[in-house]
Amino acid sequence: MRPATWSLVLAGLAACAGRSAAQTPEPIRAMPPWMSGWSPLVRLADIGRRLPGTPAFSDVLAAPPPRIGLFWTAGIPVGVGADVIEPRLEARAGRVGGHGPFRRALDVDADGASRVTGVGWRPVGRGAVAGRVIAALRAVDAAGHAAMLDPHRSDPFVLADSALPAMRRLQAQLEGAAAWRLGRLDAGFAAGIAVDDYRTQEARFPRLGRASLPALGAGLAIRLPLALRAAVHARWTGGAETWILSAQPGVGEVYRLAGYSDPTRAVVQPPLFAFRRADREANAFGGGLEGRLLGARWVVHARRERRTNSYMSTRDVNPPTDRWRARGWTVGAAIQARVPGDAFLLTAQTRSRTVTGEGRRSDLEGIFFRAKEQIVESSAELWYRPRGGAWRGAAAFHLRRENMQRRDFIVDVYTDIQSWTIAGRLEIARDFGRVSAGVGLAVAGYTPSAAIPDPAAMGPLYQQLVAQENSLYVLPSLPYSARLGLAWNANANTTVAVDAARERVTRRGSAIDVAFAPTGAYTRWAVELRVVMSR
Amino acid sequence: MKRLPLLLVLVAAPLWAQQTDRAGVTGSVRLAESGVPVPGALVTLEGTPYRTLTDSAGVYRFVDVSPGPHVILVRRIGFAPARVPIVVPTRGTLLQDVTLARTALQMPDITVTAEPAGRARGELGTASVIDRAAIANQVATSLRGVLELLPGVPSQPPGLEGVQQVGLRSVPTSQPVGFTAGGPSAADLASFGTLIILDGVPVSNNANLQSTGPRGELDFLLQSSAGGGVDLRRIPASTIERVEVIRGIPSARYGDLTQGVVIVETRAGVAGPEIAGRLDERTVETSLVGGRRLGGAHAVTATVDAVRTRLRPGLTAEDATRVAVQLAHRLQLGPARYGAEPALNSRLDLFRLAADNPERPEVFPGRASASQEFGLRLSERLRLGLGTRGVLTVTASADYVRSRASVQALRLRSALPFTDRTTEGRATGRYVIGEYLSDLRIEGDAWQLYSRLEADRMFGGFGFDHRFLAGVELRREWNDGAGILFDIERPAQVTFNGVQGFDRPRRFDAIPPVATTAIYVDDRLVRAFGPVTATLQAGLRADLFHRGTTWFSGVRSAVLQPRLNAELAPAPWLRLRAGIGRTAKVPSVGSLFPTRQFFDVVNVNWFTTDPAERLAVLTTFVRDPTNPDLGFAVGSKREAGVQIVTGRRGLTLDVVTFRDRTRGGVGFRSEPGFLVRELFDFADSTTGTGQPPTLIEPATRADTVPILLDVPANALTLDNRGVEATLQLPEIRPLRLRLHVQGAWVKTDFASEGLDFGRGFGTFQVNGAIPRTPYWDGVTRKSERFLLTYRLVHHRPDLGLVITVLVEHIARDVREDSVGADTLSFAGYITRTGQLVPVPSARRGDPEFADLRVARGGSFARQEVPADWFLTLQVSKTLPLGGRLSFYAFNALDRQGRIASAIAARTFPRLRFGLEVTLPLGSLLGAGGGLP
Repeated sequence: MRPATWSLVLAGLAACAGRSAAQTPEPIRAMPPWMSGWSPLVRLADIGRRLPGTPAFSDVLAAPPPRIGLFWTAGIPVGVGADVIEPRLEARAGRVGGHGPFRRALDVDADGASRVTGVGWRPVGRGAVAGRVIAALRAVDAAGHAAMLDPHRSDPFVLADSALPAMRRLQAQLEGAAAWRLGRLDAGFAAGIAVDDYRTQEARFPRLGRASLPALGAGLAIRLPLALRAAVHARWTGGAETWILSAQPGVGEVYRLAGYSDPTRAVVQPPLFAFRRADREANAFGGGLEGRLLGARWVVHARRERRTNSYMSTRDVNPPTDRWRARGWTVGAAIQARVPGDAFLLTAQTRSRTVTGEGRRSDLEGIFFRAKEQIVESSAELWYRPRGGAWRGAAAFHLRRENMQRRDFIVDVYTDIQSWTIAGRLEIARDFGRVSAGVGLAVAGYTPSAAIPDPAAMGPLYQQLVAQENSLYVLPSLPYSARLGLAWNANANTTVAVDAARERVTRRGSAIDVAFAPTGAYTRWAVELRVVMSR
Repeated sequence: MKRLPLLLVLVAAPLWAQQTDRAGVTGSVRLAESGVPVPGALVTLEGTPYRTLTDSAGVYRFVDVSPGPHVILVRRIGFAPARVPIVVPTRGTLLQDVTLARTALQMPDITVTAEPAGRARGELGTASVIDRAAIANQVATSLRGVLELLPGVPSQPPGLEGVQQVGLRSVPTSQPVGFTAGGPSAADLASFGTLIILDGVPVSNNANLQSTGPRGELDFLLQSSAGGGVDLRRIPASTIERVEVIRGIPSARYGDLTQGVVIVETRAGVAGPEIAGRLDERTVETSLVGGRRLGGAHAVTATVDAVRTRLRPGLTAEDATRVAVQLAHRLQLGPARYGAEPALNSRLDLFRLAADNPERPEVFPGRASASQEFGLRLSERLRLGLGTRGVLTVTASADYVRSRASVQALRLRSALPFTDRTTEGRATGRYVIGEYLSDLRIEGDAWQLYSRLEADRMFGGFGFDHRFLAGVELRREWNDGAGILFDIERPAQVTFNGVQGFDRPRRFDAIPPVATTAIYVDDRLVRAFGPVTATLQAGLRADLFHRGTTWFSGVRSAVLQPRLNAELAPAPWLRLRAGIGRTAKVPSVGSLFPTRQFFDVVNVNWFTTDPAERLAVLTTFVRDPTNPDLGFAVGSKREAGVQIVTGRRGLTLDVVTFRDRTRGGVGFRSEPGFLVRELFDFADSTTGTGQPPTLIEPATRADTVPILLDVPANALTLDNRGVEATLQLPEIRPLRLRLHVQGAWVKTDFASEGLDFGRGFGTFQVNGAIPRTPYWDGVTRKSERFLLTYRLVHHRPDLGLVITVLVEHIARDVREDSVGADTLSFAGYITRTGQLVPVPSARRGDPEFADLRVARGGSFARQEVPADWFLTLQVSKTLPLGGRLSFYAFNALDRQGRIASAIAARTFPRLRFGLEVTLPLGSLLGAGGGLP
């Protein structure tokens, strides 16, 4: 069966499976980052605020060693032509979830999702194609106060309400990239769409939401002397998210959060409803250069990103809109070399993302909110994979620096959260005939240095919906995770694997007493069945 | 035109028959993947009796074929059918190979749109053909979704939402015309005039009475297609094999229509079993189809389709469900002779369509509604050879639709005098006050008996190839239901102005049947003049509807319908065509036999706080609004078009301009009249006695009360004109991309001959101090829409992959009412005795008419919505064993639709996404095609 066929089959199975609940926190990442980093749906000029966690596993059990290149590292679609040299297809079906009190106020308490993913790539004629399809069904018994899909963006506009309903979310994502060789030039494009439908179940204050995120990208690459290859590309992502909160049969409150000031509590009574819509648009232009140096493959890339988000609450011809405009850079480099022989592969990567944004409210003149955020991530990973050997493994060191500055000029408060996350990861696997077993461990230390507003001086909605998040980020925490897997090599080209992964994050030390700080731990888990076909 | 029948008789006479120029068609049928010949494939020329099987080398051959455009259809169990348009030359043999594949996605020339070049069988007027491959690629739950492939039909997401109808070549206007509530709208009239034929038998809505009528306060919870077209939700898309839509002038064999014909053929014949499913946030659907030969001459096919749509998930528990089952049996009665294969086709159709809106006590206490339709239809088609080149077809069917609807609601009524009299006369009434639970049920059992006898013969004469057909059609329709049922004291109505009384229950089984007869002849003539091929189709049809309940009773109304289509093909790539014709539609049973109207005039209204002292006296008047002159709605259709086809994979352009005008559409006309109200004095009206006052008989005085009787009348005019265009560009080979553009600009004028008595008439009725009130001329409501549909199709047969991007661009959307709304716009006034007094426009400003110069009620603003578009995406991929999986995202970018600054608001259908899976079970069960 062809890769694309498998992907679609699995998407079909997904629809018959379960589903996952509210929107945040994001589930544990079961796939090595390079396998999904090329997605045209990657968010531009927007740094999401994540819960502290460990880096994703590289999956020495069934995945190939990490790849770098214009496509895998920089997400430049034209790179797929050179980066894909053999066909591969992975079909995954499984369940992911999370629970625990060590979270933010807008996160859900506990959720579970059934998710099916198909990802594959293969050379085609004078080029190559890659594609991915995801379908998931997510259910939460008690969703958070956030009515929107991802309330922890750089963007300060958040829609929340007073209900904590049970919700169902159906999501689908379809994306692909293709490139062709045209003499010295390569041309490529990527397209994708992600769609979501989420709605409450048997709620007295129903919440209905839907979102669409389309994306397009295109680029050109040219082969230069000295084995160099340069590429330029452009990206566009659009998208809309619409919410309806209906006061039937119950009465509810809607909070249009904007920064750190307390919004007016909008009471919605029968038979009225509240409407809110976000139209988001972003674009990026960038380039990359890759080549070889002393037997090592390297790539450098940079991308300038811009974003405009508009929010409206009425369906008029020219409704008053809240706006968020942001711009940023993504700059990175990666190098990969075999040291000292074929058994070891060293991969080092670094990436910096910077976003500066300004918010304007429809009812005010001028800028009311400004954010300057930066994340720098670096890693070095050594793979050991001897030809014909039974053992293989990987060890990695990760360093993450976050610098998040957000200032609200209306209430004249700011947050300045700077943090270091140092993480180590070790994975080993061994073959027992046609069966393989693998285990992985990772641990990280999150150490912040922060200034946040005194919650006691802020409004009640800040205390209810925002304070817990800021308090969480000023607490040192200790995320750790483990992964266990079994694989059966059905034949030379096909592997069936079962994986289980669990991650837990808790507060580290108790010297600091922070008001509204969460307690306990947050646990994320994933169980997956995979079918891998490669040659 | 008057000489047309004579001409037809002349050309039909075989006495002068002679052979004309003829050619042959031959070729081979091969597998797409391997090129292996396919033996035993059934090859037919659509619209003709030509049919043959491929030999062991996969070769087929037709001889003696008339020149001009034809369509080759190749079928073989286990493979997707292939349709190939060809142009047969005047002489010689045309070589045309055909490729078959396991699934349509692997066919090199898959067609996923309606074919403008596809010729409906035996039709020369503008027609589109939608074949199985296009239907399978269309995200549709019912026939309505399939018809979105036509130019000018807006897209809707799949599901069972609402009553689904289609009115060809028409756009809805702003509101129903006229003062009368419940009158048909332009969309209703256009839908009613669109003939739906399912497997050779019309699907009728003429005896559908599932409505409370023009005077009933229609509850918005009660959804019904009564007074409009057929609810297309009853026909599942999954069971449709092919749809032909004749939008131009149909041949004379099609009657009881004003707009056009939709001919649906369901999947029948020997076919491998196939299961399909669809799932999205709202809709779950599954279907199963399969057919096999039972040895000898018998073959059976069964299709089952079940679907459930949650109508407003997350908000209500409302849902709609449908189960449809069809059994088809074919008995071959003998060997084919000149293509005519004697056979008896039997079909049994069952469907159940239900919508349930259960009570939600915490939201709307007491409010609930449900509707259910159960249909059963048995049809037989006997096809026999008639001589060497003719076919005799006998069709008979019995159709039964059991409809049940109920609406329950908590209602609040102020202190109103009330009588439950069902006959004329005066009676002491009582007061019904406060909150009560109304429970309205409508139980209809609609029946239709239908039969057709048709002879079809091909011959040569006067240098032409003729295809001549003549037939007679009989139809009888009635409703045998219990009718409109409710407790008179607790009606669904809560308003009463002291004159227009509450409705009364009505039995449908007391309404007599309606019998109609039709006779028709039609001749299609083809002749080649060198490289030029000329085709003429002329027909004449007479529709009669009878006074009595049988076909032997006298004729109440008749209409003669000549129809003429002509086509000239000066070159193989060019066709010019034009047509003109007349059509007619019989009134519905509900219009012919309207419900009686009750007027409860209040003589005494003595209401006190002590119930024992209250006195209400009412006189009931009963009026029968039956209109003995009610007759056919008559349509006139004209069109002219050009079609350019440059090769099979080349450019196709089809442009047609049309004008369809329906006169005498049945609506309700308000006829003024008056009643005499007696007024009484009391002998003793002292309160506190515990007794009602004593009435002094006889009445001391009387006055008149003006009334309006809502009489069904041929009062509506629907005028549609526009341009339809279809453009299919050549494939961009390197990208495997095709662009298909459809556009339709349609302008509709909808007018009523009736008068508008305004919203103040109710006050005028009960207030004797008002001597007169103005009336206005009827409103002409206009609408205009320019809809462009772009379909970008990326097809990779080698991967079995089709990506379809549909962009629907609403370039123009205007609704406007042609009406004078100022204070001088009144046409005259009505007196208290119901007399109409026109006032010349020059005198309307005179002081004596000052009381008539009032603003006309209603909303007549021009509503123009800015241009906008939305996008739908579909990705389909073959699965192993011939299966197929599709992902679709309707309105994938979640565009809202531009909002007009006036009242009109356009909201696009919401983002909807889901999956469709089709799996042929034949391979799993070892019943494949038997080919390599």
